[in-house]
Amino acid sequence: MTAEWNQVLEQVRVWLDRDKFRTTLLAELAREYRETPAIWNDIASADASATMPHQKTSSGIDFYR
Amino acid sequence: MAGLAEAVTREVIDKLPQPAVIVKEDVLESIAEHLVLPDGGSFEQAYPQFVLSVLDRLVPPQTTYGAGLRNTSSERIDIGMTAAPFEEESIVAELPSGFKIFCDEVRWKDGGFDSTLVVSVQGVCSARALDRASKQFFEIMRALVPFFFRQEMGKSTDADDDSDTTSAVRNTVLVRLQKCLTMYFAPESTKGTFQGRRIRNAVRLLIESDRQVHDAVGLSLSFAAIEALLGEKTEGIAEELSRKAATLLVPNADNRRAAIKAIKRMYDHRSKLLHGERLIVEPHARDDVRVLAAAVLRGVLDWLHFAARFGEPDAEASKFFVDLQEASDTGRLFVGPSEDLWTIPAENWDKE
Repeated sequence: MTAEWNQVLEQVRVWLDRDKFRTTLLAELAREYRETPAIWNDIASADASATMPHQKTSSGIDFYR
Repeated sequence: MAGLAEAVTREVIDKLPQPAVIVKEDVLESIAEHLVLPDGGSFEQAYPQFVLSVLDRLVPPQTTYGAGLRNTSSERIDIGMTAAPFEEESIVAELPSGFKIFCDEVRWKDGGFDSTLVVSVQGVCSARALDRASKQFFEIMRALVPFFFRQEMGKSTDADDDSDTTSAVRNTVLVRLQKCLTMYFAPESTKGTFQGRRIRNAVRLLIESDRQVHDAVGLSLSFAAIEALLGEKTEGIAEELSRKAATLLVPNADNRRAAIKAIKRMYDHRSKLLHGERLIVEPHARDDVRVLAAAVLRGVLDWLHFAARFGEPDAEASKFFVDLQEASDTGRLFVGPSEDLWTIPAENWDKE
């Protein structure tokens, strides 16, 4: 499982760490911030508004239903 | 937010094998946590923390997910047969992104005459990705697996195994399900092939068809699925679909004429319902068109399997249509489907 886990992590890391994505993201952030400063409120509240499919438990997330 | 979400989807989520192990909401949430910086904050310093935060959402299944995410009673997969469809605790399918679908349990209802599947999904993924992928898997299995079994049952050859599903039937269904799932989640780069568009669209339409409360809409969406698989024209659709479906499903040219007539009547029934000329759906009509759509999908899968065996694993839809046209014009057998796939009772559609 560790090997499989590492493989998935690496795959995601590769796409997140690409210069293009970093640049694109940075550019998008800057542009959107300039155009609509209120966007930060939306992004910052994403955690609260996101629909989490499962209830969190003290030991983590209970995925089993 | 829309532009940012679009960039995240385009640059990360869509690049990963599908279904992706994270979803855009995961990335946006990590952006909110780590990249919304105060004045003077260093983006370059914050970025590694953001990446770690996203990776932290990917959790190995055994430690956190327990036995994975199961289908609920509202997502149950009714097989509709007396035999156990899959072996319990066996892997039903596996996707390139690492998601695995397990058969956890076979439950019985109606006094043991009908089986229903409890499956679970596991993967190294985020909670949201697991939820989203599972919902998709359950829907696809509900739309396909009962029909795959129905097409195979009654063909048991194991002399001492009358009551259980034979391993041959089980394997055939598993192979078809795996193929459909692989095609459904195939990368966008495969567009133009069956894998890229037609089967994916057809499966989506079958899911929607099954979901409909209204028979007329359900019937119409099953026809849309047939069109997704066989359609090339924008006019003369009834003629085109009936001829192609009959050629695909019926090996004997003499019997094709009756099948063409029946399919045209089904299409005519659909049109009258949609155009408002008829309000009542014939009792058997919705089921017949759904069975027809499942048979057409099976025929296409058989042809793809046949093409792969002869060295063309990514056979183009255009090749399929050329072969189908030739079989239709000459009255010859269309090579690919392993048997006569027409199972709709003739008397259902022998009258105007």
